[in-house]
Amino acid sequence: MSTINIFGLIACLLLISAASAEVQIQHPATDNLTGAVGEVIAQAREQFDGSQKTATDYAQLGSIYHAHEFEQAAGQAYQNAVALSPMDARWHHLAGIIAHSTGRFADAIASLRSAADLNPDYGPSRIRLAEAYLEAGQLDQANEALEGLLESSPDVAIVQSSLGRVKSLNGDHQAALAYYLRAQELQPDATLLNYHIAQAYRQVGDVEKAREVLTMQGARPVYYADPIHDRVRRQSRSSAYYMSLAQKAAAARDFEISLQLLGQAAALDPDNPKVSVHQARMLDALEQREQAILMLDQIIEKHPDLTEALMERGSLAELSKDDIDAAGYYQRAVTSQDESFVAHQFLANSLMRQLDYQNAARHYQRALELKPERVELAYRKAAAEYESGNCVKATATLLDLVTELQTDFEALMMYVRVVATCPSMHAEHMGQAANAALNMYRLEPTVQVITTLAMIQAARGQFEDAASYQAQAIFEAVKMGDSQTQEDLKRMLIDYEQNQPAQRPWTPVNPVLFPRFMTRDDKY
Amino acid sequence: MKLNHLNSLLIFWVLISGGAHAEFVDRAKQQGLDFVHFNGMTGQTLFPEMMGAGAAMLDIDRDGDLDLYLVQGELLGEGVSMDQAVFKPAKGAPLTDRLFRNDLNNGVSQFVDVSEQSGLKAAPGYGMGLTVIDANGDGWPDLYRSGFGGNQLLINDRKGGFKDETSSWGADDDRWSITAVPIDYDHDGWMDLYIVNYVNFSFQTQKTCRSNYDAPDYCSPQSYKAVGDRMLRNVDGKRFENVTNLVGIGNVDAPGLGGVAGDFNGDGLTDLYIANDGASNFLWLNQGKKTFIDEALLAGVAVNMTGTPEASMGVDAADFDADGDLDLFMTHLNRQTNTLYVNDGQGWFMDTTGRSVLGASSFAYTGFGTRWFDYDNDGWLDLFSANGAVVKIESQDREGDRFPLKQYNQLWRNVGAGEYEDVSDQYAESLQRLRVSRGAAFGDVDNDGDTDIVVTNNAGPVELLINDHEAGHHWLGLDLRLQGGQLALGAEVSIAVGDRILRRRSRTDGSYLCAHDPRILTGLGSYSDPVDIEIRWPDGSAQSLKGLSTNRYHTLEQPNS
Repeated sequence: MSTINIFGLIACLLLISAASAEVQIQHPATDNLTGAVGEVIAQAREQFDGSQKTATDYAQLGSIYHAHEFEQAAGQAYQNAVALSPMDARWHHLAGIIAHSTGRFADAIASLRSAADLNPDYGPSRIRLAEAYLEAGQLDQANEALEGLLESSPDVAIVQSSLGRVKSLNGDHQAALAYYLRAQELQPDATLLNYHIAQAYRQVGDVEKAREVLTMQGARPVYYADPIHDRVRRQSRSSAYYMSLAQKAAAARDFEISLQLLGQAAALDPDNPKVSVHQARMLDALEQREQAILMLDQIIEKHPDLTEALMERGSLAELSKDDIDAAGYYQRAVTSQDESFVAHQFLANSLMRQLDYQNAARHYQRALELKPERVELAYRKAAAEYESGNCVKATATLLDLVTELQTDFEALMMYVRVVATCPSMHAEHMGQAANAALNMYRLEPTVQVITTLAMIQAARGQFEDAASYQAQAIFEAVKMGDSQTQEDLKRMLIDYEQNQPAQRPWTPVNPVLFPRFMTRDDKY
Repeated sequence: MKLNHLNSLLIFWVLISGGAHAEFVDRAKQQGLDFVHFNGMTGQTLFPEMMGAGAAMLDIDRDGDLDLYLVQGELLGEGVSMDQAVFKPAKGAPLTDRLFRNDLNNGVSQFVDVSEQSGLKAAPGYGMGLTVIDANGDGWPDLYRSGFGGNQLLINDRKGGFKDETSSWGADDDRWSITAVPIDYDHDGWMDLYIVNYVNFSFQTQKTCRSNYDAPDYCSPQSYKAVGDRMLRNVDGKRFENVTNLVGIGNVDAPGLGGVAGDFNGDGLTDLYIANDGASNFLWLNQGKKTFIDEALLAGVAVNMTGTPEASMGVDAADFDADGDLDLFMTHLNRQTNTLYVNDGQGWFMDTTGRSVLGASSFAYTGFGTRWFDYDNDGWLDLFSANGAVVKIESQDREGDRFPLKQYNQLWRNVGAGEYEDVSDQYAESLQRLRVSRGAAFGDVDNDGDTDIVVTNNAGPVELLINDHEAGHHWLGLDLRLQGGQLALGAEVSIAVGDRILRRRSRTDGSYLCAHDPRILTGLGSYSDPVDIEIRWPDGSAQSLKGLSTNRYHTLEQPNS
């Protein structure tokens, strides 16, 4: 043990002697708590009350409170564990974590320093100590702690990245960059590091490299194992708690972790089919689709009306390009829960892909009734109506949409294009659409707006104007270097030059106006 | 600036500054500000009820002192009655916004409620923020009121009141708007508006979350779909046009809570910084072609130093370290720490919170209204934060508090060269009162040469924190006007004080939900000689003035070019 550690220990013992009196724990009241959390807390309390109140008993109680985010009570319990067993680094470590997370940095530093002194081989205490110094703005101490760790653990990504942060704050961006890059070598899946690397590149003057690296930025931070804290997290015995952790992990695209957490949720709540649906979803995310389908089929067999399972099963069929199968499941979901706008929407999407536009329009209509604020449903409904040959309904739907959104160019463009390509449109509509197109053109002459203007001019028989606008649209597309769009636009120009109006309101290479959001991954 | 030079300047400044002692005293009631915010909550934890409300300091009658406009809430929810309100409005107090005229006499403000005379009527939506803008360029300050359920453009009628001209100007936005930022982005002399919108909350989409102790609680904005912001271009002083798509800001949705305008990269064009709640912030750089691009991520101001988006409630921009560029400060949720982004002069920033006391001292608090201001007039910009939680605090809830979001407010003193100390304890009487504070408006209410603060408290009384400093520090006040008397928002002034150049802007934006005194008030420490200044007017023209006497306000109008 080094001299520093001996001094540290003495200081630690002095601190402990000052704090050895039992701290009164303000136990969480369980009267408002419902379900599993309430049971766990009540049970823990009962077990503790019947115990001999050793340091381990206090720590056990503290860890359950900690796991359920009752931090004040957890901190008090840990403090008592420390008082009763001052040489046990674990309780200092946990007390330090609580102090850190509640913003008591001085306490956190004292506790974590004690933990590190008592058990210098346990890296997480030293890492957390450095983090606490950093949060408290004590950069020199953070640097010292990390440099010490670097000697003993040079291949730990968190040490490298934290040193990067310290160097960056001290203005040594070249050194920061080197540390961040080393951290990335050690933990390549920590995609958030790309943000730090990009900032460091920018700081050393390489802006282009910074931009390049930013495109690879993800949300996954550098992580490290902390077995003492992990044991605390496992104290949570509620299925809902694990479900929420699993959802967070899934949101961070950490599907494996999410699946593990769902396994823990399922172990606690084996009869909850919704947990199994989530497990199936994660299996699919991990590219184990067959297993996911098998699991969902089993759930559906037991719970034939479970909307979540039917929707998920439909989605997997959809992803496997089996629209007929998908529509079947979505139809069952709609039957089981008519109030689910998503079910109607997914069913309608599926019907659209099967060219059953009339029924698709019906389900979009129902989805829209359930969620009138989701304007994308109106877009889709109009597309379905148009494709089913019902121009009157399509223009009425779009007029409503345009009236509601006023200046939404996409809605306006879709309206103009539908009017331009519907047969036998009333002259009043034509005139109105032409005015709208001209106004958009004056405000924002993008390729799509100009193309739209050309379409309506062609529909009104003004082919010369249409060709002229279309040529301008092609010129703009050339400037943007979009060769695919150019070809499409050129075909339309040839039509206009031959006095032929536009054939379709949208084309595959004109994605903005192509009826959007037709798959389960679509977002608005 | 080299460190040695900086140090020597710091020593010089400390020498000339002398010691200072300042006090803030809440004189709201004593000086006639009898106003209690009604948040309309009925126990359903409806999101908007805990977000408001704002205040604006503006000289509505142009009599030389700051009047005060306060936003009131209303009953929230469908099919609810006043009987169900958790906090009932005071008897006889009408549930409309209030306008208080400042009758300043011998350095003491007395506020008179002139809401009725001024024709204030029930607003169309649940009130949030206020923005001061001279929309028609007549030199009389107008107001833009943001809200949930409709916004309002209130044009000053020059008779001490306002006329609602929202419709004829095309100024509404029916989404949930939090605030608006005045900016003349196209430099045509007419003030445009950037509307900061939040999420698609409605009573139908309302969600209730649970606290860790299983009580019904407010949800985060991530529970709702974010909505896009809007840019309204002031066409001719008579109407706005929506140019959101045209200027390039229309393709992204984010839960915005605040914003500031300023030239962040020193290219002479006014940019925008928009604070988003739990999502990456925007740094809309003005391209000079009536378009903006977002460079926040590369510039280092989209997220904090760990790469994480933060809650971003309050925001302000100023040159706190006196190096000639605009830095950024933001308030966030507890456990996130407030953030200090330091500009390197080219519009590239670094999150330096980790080496400042501003981080650790804010860890336990959820900050909203904030601003850089010089409360002790020592020439260095200090910081205030109006605090109040957004999720229930268990201990308060257990004690039966029906709105358990209360926290203390905070004050940090800039001790020189951008270093701060937390001095909240020194002002415990006025700052350390448990409130659900939201807005903070800043200005010299009593024209005595120091900055006072109006703090708005959700479901609580407004506070008027009068600054009674006794240090005898000197100051310079500037009321900058364009030709014709229009507020010269965005004008920048460089003030030579000894070896130092202090840079300040005429601005009413920043903080949270509030609009501030547009005058520039600069502390000079012990420096009492007449000062030389350089003004960069919003149109880019420059003007030098020499020998301005200190300890007074100067009204300066832009000369003919």
